[in-house]
Amino acid sequence: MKTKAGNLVRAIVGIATAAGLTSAFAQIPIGLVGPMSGAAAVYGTEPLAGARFALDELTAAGNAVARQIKLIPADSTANPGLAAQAAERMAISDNVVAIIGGMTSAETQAMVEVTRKAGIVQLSPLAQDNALTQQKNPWFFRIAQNADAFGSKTAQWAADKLNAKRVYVLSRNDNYGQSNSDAFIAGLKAKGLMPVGQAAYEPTAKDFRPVLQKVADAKPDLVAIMGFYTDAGLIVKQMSEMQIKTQIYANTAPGLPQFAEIAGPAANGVYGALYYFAGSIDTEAGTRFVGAWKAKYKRAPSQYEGMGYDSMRLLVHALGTLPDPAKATPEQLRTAIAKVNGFAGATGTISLTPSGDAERPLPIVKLGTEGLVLDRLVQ
Amino acid sequence: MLSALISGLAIGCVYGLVAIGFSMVFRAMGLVNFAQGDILMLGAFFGFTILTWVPAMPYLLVLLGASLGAGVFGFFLERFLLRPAVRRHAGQTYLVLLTLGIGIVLSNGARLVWGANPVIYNIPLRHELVRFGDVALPMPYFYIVAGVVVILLLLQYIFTRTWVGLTLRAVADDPQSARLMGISVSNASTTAFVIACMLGAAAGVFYAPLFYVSFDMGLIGVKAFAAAVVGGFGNLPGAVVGGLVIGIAEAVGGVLIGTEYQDSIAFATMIVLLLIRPRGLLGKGVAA
Repeated sequence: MKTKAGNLVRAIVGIATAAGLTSAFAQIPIGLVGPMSGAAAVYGTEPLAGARFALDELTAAGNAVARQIKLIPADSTANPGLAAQAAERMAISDNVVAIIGGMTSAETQAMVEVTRKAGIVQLSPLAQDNALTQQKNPWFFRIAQNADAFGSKTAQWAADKLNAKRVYVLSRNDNYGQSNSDAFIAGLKAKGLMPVGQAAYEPTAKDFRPVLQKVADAKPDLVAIMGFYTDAGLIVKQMSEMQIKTQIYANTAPGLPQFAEIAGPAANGVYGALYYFAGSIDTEAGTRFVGAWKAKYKRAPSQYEGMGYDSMRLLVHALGTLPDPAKATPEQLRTAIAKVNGFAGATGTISLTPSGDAERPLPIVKLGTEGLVLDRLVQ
Repeated sequence: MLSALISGLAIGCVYGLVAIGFSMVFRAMGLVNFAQGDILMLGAFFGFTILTWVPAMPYLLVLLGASLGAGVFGFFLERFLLRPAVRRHAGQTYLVLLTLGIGIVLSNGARLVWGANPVIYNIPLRHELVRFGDVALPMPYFYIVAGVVVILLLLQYIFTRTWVGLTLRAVADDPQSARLMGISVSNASTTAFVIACMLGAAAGVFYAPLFYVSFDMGLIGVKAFAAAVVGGFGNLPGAVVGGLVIGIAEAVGGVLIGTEYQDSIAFATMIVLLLIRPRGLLGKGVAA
């Protein structure tokens, strides 16, 4: 026999179920692909931490879009094949509207083939290879500067600030190393300089003495290393052991504490260019981010955490410009992101170009005994 | 070039130690232990753990402790995983897959235990240099070369002057006859495996101060396997010679041709030598 209490319970259950179903359907799935394990794990785990921090911060501030976002991470182990598989799974099974990633250039290139075919926005926080935005792919964007921009700005700085005349370039023999190397050398040539030597090394190499002997023979006044922090750390250590005394620029490697651990005392005085340097962005967004991060983690955010943070914030911002973010199609999101101009990111003001590249500031740092110090913020 | 030669010699010694392990296990048990490179990795991590607990531990004691730890680990690995398979006369394909699987488990296990980021031995030895005029060489090189010499002399003594060594040689040469003479073949296999693990771990501890320790450093085992083959698979002095050949070839080749071709040079050397001498430099042929 039906009772009033029973009817009330049934009504409550029905409303709750409908609300649950509604909230489930209201989720905006966004994927994040990067290496979460392996030697390159820092390039994935830190942007993920930054992205999560951004989501938590925006949700706590009452941002309706952020509240609906479901972040789906995947570990690529820096393997391009696995990254592409993860992107495919996210596109087919998770129905993501966007993917943050890849982090390395090689895995990003593999993913681009998938996201382009699936018609999903792909926003990379870190990938620098020039080729990624030279494919007339309307679905790919990045908030990192491409290798050309990185290279030309750092080459200009090296020539002007360090007065470098004899530069030797060492690079990883992969997308990342070669694109950065080519761009840096192009930047040197634009300043009327020619490198006195250049050499590529295998990504798995650990003993660099054979090539460093050639470096020593060339007597450079600057050695530029375009590699991951593991190889750059070993190169700097072995340069010191071989008594090769010269200025060293190690691209983004000095931004990681592990670089100094591996290189040892030889790391002191090495220059680097980072995606982002905490404290270098003197804007409301920049200072708020550093303050909030320090309050939670008792340390400044790393360059990768900052880039992951701004990637998520930029996506939320773009979704927020749409009439119904929960029902936004990838095409709508793509159009919204393409219009991003002067976004007040925590890592700097970001503007996206028609090709999907980012215009943003570049911090150049020097590693000292007390840690990193900002040398120059190149706009 | 001198620096490259010495570097190749030192790294070649590391390959040689691991290669001895390959050859010892093959001679004693008739299987190729593709987890030998990951035993090197494990030994390096054991050394890192010892230094984490006792930062001031002398390097030689770290070497001893890591080797003993790997030996104990090897004992249980052989007793509970490999011996049952060998006793059941498992085919070579199965045994290869088994050791490959063990290597993968060790590698992933190391990542879970010690993390994904590379770690270093935070000891003064890492940055010590020995100077000869204008040339400065890392002190770990000398530890490696001296260590390998001592280990080889020790192995020579064990194999020629001790009952354990004689039983290992007897089992390696003719297990049936050895059994008839009252020698426990299974115990000899265990002993050989334990020694191989200790050698692999020692190689890891020698390698660590030069570079860093990471869960994927077991890939060194691939070049060590090439060294064992070049020297003559199953031949212990050949393993050392093979290691030196591979190490020097890749170092010198890196100088003369290019660093990006070092890996290719190492294996090209192996191919050329095997074409000239299919049994390896000191090999006498391996029974199928």
